[in-house]
Amino acid sequence: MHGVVNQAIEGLIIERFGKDKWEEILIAANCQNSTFYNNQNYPDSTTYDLAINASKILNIELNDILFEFGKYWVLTIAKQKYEVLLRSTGDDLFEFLIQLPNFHSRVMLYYPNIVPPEFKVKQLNNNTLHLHYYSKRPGLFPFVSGILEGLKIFFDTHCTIKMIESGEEKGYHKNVFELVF
Amino acid sequence: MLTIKKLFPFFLRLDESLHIIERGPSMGKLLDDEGKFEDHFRFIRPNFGIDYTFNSILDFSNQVFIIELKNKPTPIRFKGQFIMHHEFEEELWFCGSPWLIAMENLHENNLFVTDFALHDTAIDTILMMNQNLLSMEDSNKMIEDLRLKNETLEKINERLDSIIYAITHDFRAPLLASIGLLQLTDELVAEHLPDVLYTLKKLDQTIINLNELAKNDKVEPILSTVNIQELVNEIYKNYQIIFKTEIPLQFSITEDAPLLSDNFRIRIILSNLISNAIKYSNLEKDPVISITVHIKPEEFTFEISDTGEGIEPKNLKNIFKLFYRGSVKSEGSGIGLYVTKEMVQLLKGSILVESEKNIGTTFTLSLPNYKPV
Repeated sequence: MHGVVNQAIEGLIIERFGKDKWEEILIAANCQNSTFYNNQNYPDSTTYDLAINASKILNIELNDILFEFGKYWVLTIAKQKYEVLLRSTGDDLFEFLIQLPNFHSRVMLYYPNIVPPEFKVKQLNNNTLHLHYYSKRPGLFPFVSGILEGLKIFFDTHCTIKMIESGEEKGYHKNVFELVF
Repeated sequence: MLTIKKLFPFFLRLDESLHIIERGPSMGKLLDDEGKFEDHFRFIRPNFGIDYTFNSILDFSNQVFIIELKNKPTPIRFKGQFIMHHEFEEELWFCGSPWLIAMENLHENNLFVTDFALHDTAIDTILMMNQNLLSMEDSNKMIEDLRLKNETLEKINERLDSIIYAITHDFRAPLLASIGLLQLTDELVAEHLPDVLYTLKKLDQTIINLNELAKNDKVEPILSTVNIQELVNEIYKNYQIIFKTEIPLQFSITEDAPLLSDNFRIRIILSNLISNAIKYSNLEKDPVISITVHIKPEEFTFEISDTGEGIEPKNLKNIFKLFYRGSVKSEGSGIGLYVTKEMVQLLKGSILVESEKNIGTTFTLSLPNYKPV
């Protein structure tokens, strides 16, 4: 997993629960000496261990905490490091989501060794779209839900977000989100 | 034409006299009117030997062109190529896109990702530049991490050297002395038992101090309310008993706010300062110890003065060093003031000492009064 994801976990926990809790989680996840850098890849197991141990230590449901990590990722990490990129499709969440598959394809060009999730966007009409999320990593859909919620706030957009499908397709974990603007 | 517009949204069509007869939809966002090519653009590369004529451009059509859109607050450069269309031989077409090196450049020119063709690597270049900035941020963070780790390692190394020296000299001397005394005749052993006990207690105190030092590095400060008056009285009373003295204490305290700090470290700091003041007081000269405490909302100051033997000026700068003793007669382990300084530093405070030989010594401690979280 890319370092910026782990940075979101670190940032949120320190901000809301303090440095001591973060140290406790790092020790429980067996990565007490880790520093999370922007452009480094870390084993997926590190991210899972951090999230699972954060859930246990903070006594918060894993899906809820993943959702919060996703939201925090957009509103702090991405806002700080990729704000201009987020706005490069316009000040509009709809346009941004249409371009989302392209961004992820481009990411693969300069990080050939990472496996980013894949997105497919189906525009049903002028105010509804279905966002298909495919990933080799299980259980991360609440993180994606949180990211979408964060994007909604970032773009100051009024819309409803609902997960309408969940399952597997050709060895990928698949979730479909419906966004009505 | 729709295909060209989609594939090269920044294209230009020029006629034989280099009039712009059409521009791509995205080029249209940057170039208001058509007119002559040279009124809007200038050649950056190629530059020598090229002029603003149809045939001259054609001569260089096997080269990459960098052209600059003039008349903009910040000129925009384009990278691309000129070709002569196989069906329209009286026309030159420029196919390329703006060369931008930061996402901010998109916004400055009111451009969006969607203004570029999907195949265009211009956007990837901008993304790469953004990633490079993040990599630089990573490198700086790594350098800073390494610097801090190096600093810590150097300090640990220095401390280890001192500890090894102390173990081989300071720890061994009292042990050898005790062993020697215990090998004497029974009568002499009985006579010297209090000396053995004193020596071993000193050794134990050294180990306690070393343990406090180790804890200072490992245990994070835990903030809670500190009752300074109670703490000073308790420590003072205990050391009066330990040193079998009855030195009068002049204690004054001004409390403008409650003190929030780390109880564990405050107790050790005050214990070291108070025990030193009692230990080094001159009992033959009506000793007195005065302590002045002021707790302000932002800061806590603690001043302790004794009327003891004082410290030689040449020794003053060394008293906070590990295992430093002012003289061979000094009874301390040489750790207490080092631990004090380390703990004060960890609590982001400062400690000063003033001393005059045979007059006395004053330590002034200043620590932040933390705010409740």
